[in-house]
Amino acid sequence: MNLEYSLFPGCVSSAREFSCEISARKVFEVLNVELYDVEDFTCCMPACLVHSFDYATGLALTSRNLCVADEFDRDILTLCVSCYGNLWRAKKLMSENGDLRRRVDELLASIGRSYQGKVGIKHSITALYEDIGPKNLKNQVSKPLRGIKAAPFYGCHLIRPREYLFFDDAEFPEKLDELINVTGATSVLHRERTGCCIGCGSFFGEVAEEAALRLSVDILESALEAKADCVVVTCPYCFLQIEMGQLLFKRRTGESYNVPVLNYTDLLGLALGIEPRELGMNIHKIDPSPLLEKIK
Amino acid sequence: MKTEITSISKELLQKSIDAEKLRYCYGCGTCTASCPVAKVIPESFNPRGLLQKIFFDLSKTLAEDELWLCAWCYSCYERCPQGIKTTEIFLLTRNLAVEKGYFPKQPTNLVKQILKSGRTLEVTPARDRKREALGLPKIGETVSEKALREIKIITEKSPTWRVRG
Repeated sequence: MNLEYSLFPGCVSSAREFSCEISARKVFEVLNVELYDVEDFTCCMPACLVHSFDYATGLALTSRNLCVADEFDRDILTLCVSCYGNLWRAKKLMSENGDLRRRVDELLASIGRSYQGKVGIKHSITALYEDIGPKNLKNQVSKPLRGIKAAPFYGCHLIRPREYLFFDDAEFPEKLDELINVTGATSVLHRERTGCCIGCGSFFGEVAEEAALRLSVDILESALEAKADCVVVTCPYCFLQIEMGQLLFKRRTGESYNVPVLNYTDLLGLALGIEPRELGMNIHKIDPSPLLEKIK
Repeated sequence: MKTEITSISKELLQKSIDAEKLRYCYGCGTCTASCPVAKVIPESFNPRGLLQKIFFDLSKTLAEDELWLCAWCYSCYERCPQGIKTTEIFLLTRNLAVEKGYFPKQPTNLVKQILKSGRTLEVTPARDRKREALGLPKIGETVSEKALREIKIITEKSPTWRVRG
């Protein structure tokens, strides 16, 4: 297997939530997948923030990243579901030949670029599922995580909207559950599995921050109702929000949830026999030791 | 009222979206029932109400904070039985708000951060050293010079970016 991708790490994992990038780099290395760093990528320029100011300028900035990716003959691999959904949204809008496309083409021409949209857009989860495959992954598991109950948290832009994201069903996705079960852990069904962490919305002031805190608590309650040992996320923003939610909740009420949050690649990495420290699990803010004890 | 509806649809349509469909909303509330933000702060955000306000009283709505509370999860977009592209309509309405000079504080900082570094979040030298200590590649305080230059050229053409940058 000679898979290779252009890594699109995204702002949250580059600047804030390092464990996601550490874990993904390690796991793909062990799986013999080459991730290339690309010098000229920028922020994905998320629609919810950047396109809010000026639609065409935002779309040009996002599409610029796709032009950069086209310089190399390999698919993009994002770590963040917002980058994934946002890049796909740009690809979809750029495939419609209207006024908007013409305006964006003009903007891109001003920097000497022209949009082709040749390379594919993957997220670490879609690459693991579609390009490597659950069966292949299962064959490489050396340390099955028996006894661990994991609550999957899919992340909005891995599955919605179906209009241009085709990975899984938007209402009842199953592929992250399947990937969890491949590790020997058991995925549990819970009501917030396709919920939202408000990562994308939390930029806009205190009301949004309050909403994010309340939702984190709701996600944790949902996981605990299903007797999960941990929440498994696909995105550094979800990771950050659900960990931070627990810290803020503790500060406010004195009570702690202490529900470990794991990147999916942490779970897979452990099952592949990688040490927790090599996956960056030592920098998690919610101590995963009780979980790690369980699988020793 | 009728005039405003026409002009709104036209203005949104000019931005290449099928805002025409706004008039197909029959107020079933699937959007609000599906909305994670409305679930936890119903007093501050209600997508069904917001859509109706955009439709019936756009100029007043442009000044409201509620416009900036959609968290972009696409739950309502996915479920709307009339196929109304709610999420995109909220975004286009934000564009109109910005054009009219309504700009919440946080996005202004965001624009500055993007123009300065090419990223939405700052990577301080200390953060970068931490990356290195953890075995990650150093990435510097900004994206590549070339990328930053290209961002500047693209955004210089936008009045909004010029004013806020």
